[in-house]
Amino acid sequence: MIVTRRWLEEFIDLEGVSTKEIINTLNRIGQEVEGYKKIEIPQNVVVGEVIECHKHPNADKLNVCRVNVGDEELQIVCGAKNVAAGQLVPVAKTGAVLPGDFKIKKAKLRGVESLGMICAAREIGLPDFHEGILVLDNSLGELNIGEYVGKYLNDEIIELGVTANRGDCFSVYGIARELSAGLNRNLKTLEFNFEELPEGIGRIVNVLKNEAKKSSHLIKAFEGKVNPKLKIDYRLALVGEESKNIIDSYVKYAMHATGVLLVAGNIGECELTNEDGVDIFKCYGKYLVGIKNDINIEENGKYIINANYIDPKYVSEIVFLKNLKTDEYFFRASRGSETDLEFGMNYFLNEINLPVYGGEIDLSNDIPEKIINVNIEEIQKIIGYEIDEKSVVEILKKLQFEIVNISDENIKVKVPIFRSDIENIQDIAEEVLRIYGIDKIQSKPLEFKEADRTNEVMEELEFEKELKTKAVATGFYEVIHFVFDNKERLQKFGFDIVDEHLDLLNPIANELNTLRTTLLLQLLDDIKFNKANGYKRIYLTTIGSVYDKNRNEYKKMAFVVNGQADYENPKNHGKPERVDFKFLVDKISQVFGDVKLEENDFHPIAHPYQNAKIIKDGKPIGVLAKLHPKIAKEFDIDDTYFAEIDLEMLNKTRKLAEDIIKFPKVTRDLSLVVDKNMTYKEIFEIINSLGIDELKDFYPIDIYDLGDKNSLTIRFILQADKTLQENEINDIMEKILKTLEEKGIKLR
Amino acid sequence: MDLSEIKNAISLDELEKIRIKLLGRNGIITQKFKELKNLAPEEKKKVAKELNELKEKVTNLIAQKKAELEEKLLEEKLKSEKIDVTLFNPKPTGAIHPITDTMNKIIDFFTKLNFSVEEGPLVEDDFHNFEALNLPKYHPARDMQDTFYFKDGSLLRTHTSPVQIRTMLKQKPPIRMISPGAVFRRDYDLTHTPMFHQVEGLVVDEKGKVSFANLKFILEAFLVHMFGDVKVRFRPSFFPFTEPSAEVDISCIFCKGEGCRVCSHTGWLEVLGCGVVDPNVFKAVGYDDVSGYAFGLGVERFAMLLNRINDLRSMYEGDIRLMEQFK
Repeated sequence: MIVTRRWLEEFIDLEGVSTKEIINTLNRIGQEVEGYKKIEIPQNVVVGEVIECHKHPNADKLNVCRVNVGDEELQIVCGAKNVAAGQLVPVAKTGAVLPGDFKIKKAKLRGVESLGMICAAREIGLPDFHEGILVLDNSLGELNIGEYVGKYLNDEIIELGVTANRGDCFSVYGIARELSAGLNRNLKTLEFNFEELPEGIGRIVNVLKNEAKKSSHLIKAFEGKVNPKLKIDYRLALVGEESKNIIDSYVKYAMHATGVLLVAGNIGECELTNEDGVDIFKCYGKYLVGIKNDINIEENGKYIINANYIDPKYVSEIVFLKNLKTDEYFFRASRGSETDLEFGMNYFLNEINLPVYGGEIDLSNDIPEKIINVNIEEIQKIIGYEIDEKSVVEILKKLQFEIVNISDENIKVKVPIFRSDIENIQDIAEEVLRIYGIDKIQSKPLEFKEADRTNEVMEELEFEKELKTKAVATGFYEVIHFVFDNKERLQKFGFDIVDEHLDLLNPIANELNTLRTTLLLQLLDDIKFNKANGYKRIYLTTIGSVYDKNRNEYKKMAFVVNGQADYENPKNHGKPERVDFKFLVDKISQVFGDVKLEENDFHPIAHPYQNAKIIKDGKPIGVLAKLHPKIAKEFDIDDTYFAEIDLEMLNKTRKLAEDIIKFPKVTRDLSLVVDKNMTYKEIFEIINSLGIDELKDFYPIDIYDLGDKNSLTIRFILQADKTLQENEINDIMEKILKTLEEKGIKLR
Repeated sequence: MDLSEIKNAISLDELEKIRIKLLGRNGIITQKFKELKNLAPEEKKKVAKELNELKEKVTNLIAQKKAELEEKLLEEKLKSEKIDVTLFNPKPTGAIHPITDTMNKIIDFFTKLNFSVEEGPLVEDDFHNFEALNLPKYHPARDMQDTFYFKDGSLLRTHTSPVQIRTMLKQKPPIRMISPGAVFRRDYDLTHTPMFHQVEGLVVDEKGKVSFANLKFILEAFLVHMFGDVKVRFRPSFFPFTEPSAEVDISCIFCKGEGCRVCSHTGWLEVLGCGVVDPNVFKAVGYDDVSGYAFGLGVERFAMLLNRINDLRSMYEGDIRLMEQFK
């Protein structure tokens, strides 16, 4: 909602109140000021009267005008088509500085001297709402030749973020009403003047039937030629309203000023009907009351004007239920438009200033009264501050609540009819609080009973935080992405997609047209993006929700690594190694601790032979693999390794300690000749199945190609509750070797 | 005897040679001790005393010189090991996302004040997201929240408030909770992303106990905790689920309230919405005779202010150019 200071002053006396104070007051009482702009016409731009104009001798498109600027007459060359003798126009005299630092100087245009400039709206810093030069008229006030134009046109624009519950504030009048409460100043009583015709409206307008019982209507008729007014066009431009024609501009103007729904039409036969619950005003076109206006006006000099109102809840509900198309009328009606129809009607007729037929057609319904019992103590408890009864009563009166009676306990108040948002005591508390001033309310700590409010959610958040912290410590950047992805590409890369009947109905963009079922594709996008920005070490992680095809939500954590395994430095002579499988495995284990890898059967974007299941506490928790080169090519990236872990599969159990063995550890290595298709896991199982107590750990330390077989060196760590003797060690190693030999694995 | 050669020795080897020359088995001083036997008793006693003194002096001088030379040798060795430490400036990678970091700070504040943390699903239904929050289907305030819908009528939650409803339905008052998480609106431009994050707070207790003044207290404390020395301003506003409602501003942290581009020359930055819970919300969850307050904030907004991030969308682009600044 945009208002201007001058327009506000039509309704409320603001003399001696600075605009800053107005803005502060509006903010304080809950009318958020979202923008402010001062319109100030440059000095030395004055009202001039065009005395005569003739064509420039040397230029077809220019005119040479004589302009009276009060104390002198100036010869001015003007290029505008619409300039004509008799006009009052803004004249920038020499010495004026127009926007864009355009200094007006004495000049010669094609040989003819010009002592100033006749200005267009845009040229003196106004919105560009007119063709050609700006022609001034008395709608701005009595114009004095030679007077500074700013006296008539300077203004201040205040843009407000009126909240959806305050339909009564979608007008200049409504804001003035708020200010009157906020500043404790009275509203002005407006006087309306228009010529009344002897003939009554009943002779020329027929309302054939009235079935529109849900809405109120007040209809009047007038006739004559509608003349444009600069004030109307200018103010509509300042508040950003557009109109279709002259009559529409008056309608828009009066609606913006008063908040009353107004619809203009031509004189003739009208109908008020109700189709399927929707009230309709038919008059050479249709106006769905409070929903949408499709009446086109013919400029035939014979007009009707209909001021109307419909219950905001009713109209909102019917539009929702019938899924109707709406326009600005619905915006106003659904939030509660101004109920004083006569006020809006008179304001309109006063501005348009044409003869009006006598009488009116009044088809209005009474709006039910709302009475609320206000208990002071309850108000005090809601606010948490002892506001006295007198203040409460004063505030409510200022807001035009009617005090019905005051008893010991309660104040009985009648809600003003324009406040469709007020329904209960908490609404009243809000009114009291905002006018009283929140800043006057002392903040007060709440006393409460302490309780154990820790829960699983908090533990999980802590756990996630820990995982992220570890990941970051080992070099990953955390990234966050939308839970959306592109359905077609998920499908193309072989991921599940959310079932069609559970999918998004109204996605915002094609590339975000479904819920993601993996975190990985977005991370691959990131690799491409960061590579393009010249990054050589790209290690990224993210935690987020993913979905399965039944749209169940899972929390997952994903990792990708690409590029160099280290930064370029003197030690690696500027040639660090590239990331590889082990690089990511080590990082993952730094985040998740003791994990094991097993061969994975299939993953849609994994290299088929570098693809592992991650096992933790005996359970598969996710995947770790090299990105399939074909997929890498699709993303236009090089070797990349990824992991995706299902956080819900992780145990958060406490680890239990065993006594520390104080005797020394013994290390022995065995180099074995093994089949190439044999996994280390198989050898591990064979040795592990022996159940040797003293064997505390064993792990592969070297592997190399012997041609048809591989040489694999395993390191064994032995320890017991005593110092192991050489013969005991040999026995154990013998036992291991013997078992391996039984399985065809020989010592090299 | 000339002992200056001890002082002048330049290596441990040379010093050892001098030691042998003087104190070795056939050394000069050793020889003199051997010659003692040829002296008369009176003379012998005197010379022996002198010799002992000399021996002690020489031994000390050698030990002293040895320590000196050893120290010098170590110094030389260390010197030869000198590295240019300035060559080893590391280039670390890795940083927590500013949204996560900010969210953690917010959660920490409230959990330390005995709030619980609650969560709910991202895919919600109309009841929890709207209806129970005093937003009937046709309510114009629904326009404020352009919603993502699914084909089965579910929706992506437009705020974290449905978690309030779920928690109230699951638990009994008193309630003291926050709910952090992702929320969704169908809006994508310079200043809007279709997904963003909120933290919501709710306190419910007996009727007449929880007031607007209590809400003011906790939010003032919270905002000073987050932003440091700022002024806090409450402006009356409207939310369907609270009444009275307010928007909360802090004095602009960039211009200290003077007015700048970031605060649109108002001197204030809007950071929170809050209010006393509307009775219709309690009615929807079947609570009688209770009072409560609620508040909600956008985590991105906080993160942008706290970390001076200008472009909202850059936080969702996995952009290392942004992230590496938070190492």
